[in-house]
Amino acid sequence: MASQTHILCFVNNKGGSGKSTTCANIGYSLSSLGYKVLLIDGDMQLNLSLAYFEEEFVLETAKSEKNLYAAIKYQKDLSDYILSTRYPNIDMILSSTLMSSIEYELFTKWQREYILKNGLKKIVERNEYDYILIDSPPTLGGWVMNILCASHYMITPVEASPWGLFGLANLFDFLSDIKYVTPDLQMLGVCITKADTRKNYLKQTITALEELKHTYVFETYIKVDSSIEWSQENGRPVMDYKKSSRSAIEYLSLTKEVVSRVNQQQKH
Amino acid sequence: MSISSKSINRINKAVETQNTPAKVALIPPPKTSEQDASSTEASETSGITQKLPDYLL
Ligand SMILES: Nc1ncnc2c1ncn2[C@@H]1O[C@H](COP(=O)(O)OP(=O)(O)OP(=O)(O)O)[C@@H](O)[C@H]1O
Ligand SMILES: [Mg+2]
Repeated sequence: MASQTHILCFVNNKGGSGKSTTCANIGYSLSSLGYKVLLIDGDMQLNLSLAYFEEEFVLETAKSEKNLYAAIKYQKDLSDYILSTRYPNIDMILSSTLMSSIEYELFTKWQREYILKNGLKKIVERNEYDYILIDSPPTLGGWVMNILCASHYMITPVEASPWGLFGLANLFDFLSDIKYVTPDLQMLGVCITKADTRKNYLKQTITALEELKHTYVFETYIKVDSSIEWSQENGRPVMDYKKSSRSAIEYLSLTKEVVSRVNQQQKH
Repeated sequence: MSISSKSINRINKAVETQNTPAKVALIPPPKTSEQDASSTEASETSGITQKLPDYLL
């Protein structure tokens, strides 16, 4: 049994920044380090679901009543929506394409920022999981607010590009505006993804990020690696698909940093 | 100054101003006797349901 459940979300409204890939692979790496993990796919694109399950199963679940959309719509205890993956220490709540209309569902609800948080209450109370990881869509609205309100920590994957950094600044402006709704949420760190070491621009981005005063940038960055795409093609985390691949090694190292950052924050 | 440098400055500024009062004036929810009794849950209401927050407008 876990001593305490840590809830981490992966948020960046810039699309394609590596949220789902990072969530899926940190999830797997955490389990390889002996932690019990619950993954929650909060995005209608179903990418986190696809990282672990066959396409047919993902689409079938998306149409059924056994997904996150149904749970949020009817404000249910999320315990009843957990499915087992092929890995004993990793469970998942899958998403639905209907998540596209979740904003409308939330609109009329009382305390609408806290529907996800309330749905997770029983799971957290049971201390069944060491980590709950939530993948989010590339938006900033009421649903992402739910994800932020339900989480203890936030990780922001970012691509080393000018618009990537511009988007990151917009995200921080948003976070600053909503701080009063999520006072306890901590930014665990920014991680650079899809880094192309052949490009000089990467160096410039890293130099620019060094100027961040109060925001942690993970030392490990994830480089461009075709094993990521191959692993996704095969519906498996990269560490299971090809343990010796560069990205598998990098994601394990990033995960160790995440664990040590979380433990550090706990002490404060 | 480049986009990246400007963005980094904006991030630093956003984090520094995070603890200043919210831009949105919060209207506290009307208290019922029931809410008075429940302590932690009631504070989570924070008036959000009374006024549409900026990001939903
Ligand atoms: N290290 C990597 N090397 C190569 N390709 C990568 C890597 N990381 C992610 N990708 C690819 O980049 C694309 C975007 O990644 P991903 O879907 O994880 O981003 P996202 O932030 O979740 O996107 P969205 O905002 O649409 O949800 C995917 O096609 C993924 O396969
Ligand atoms: Mg995604």
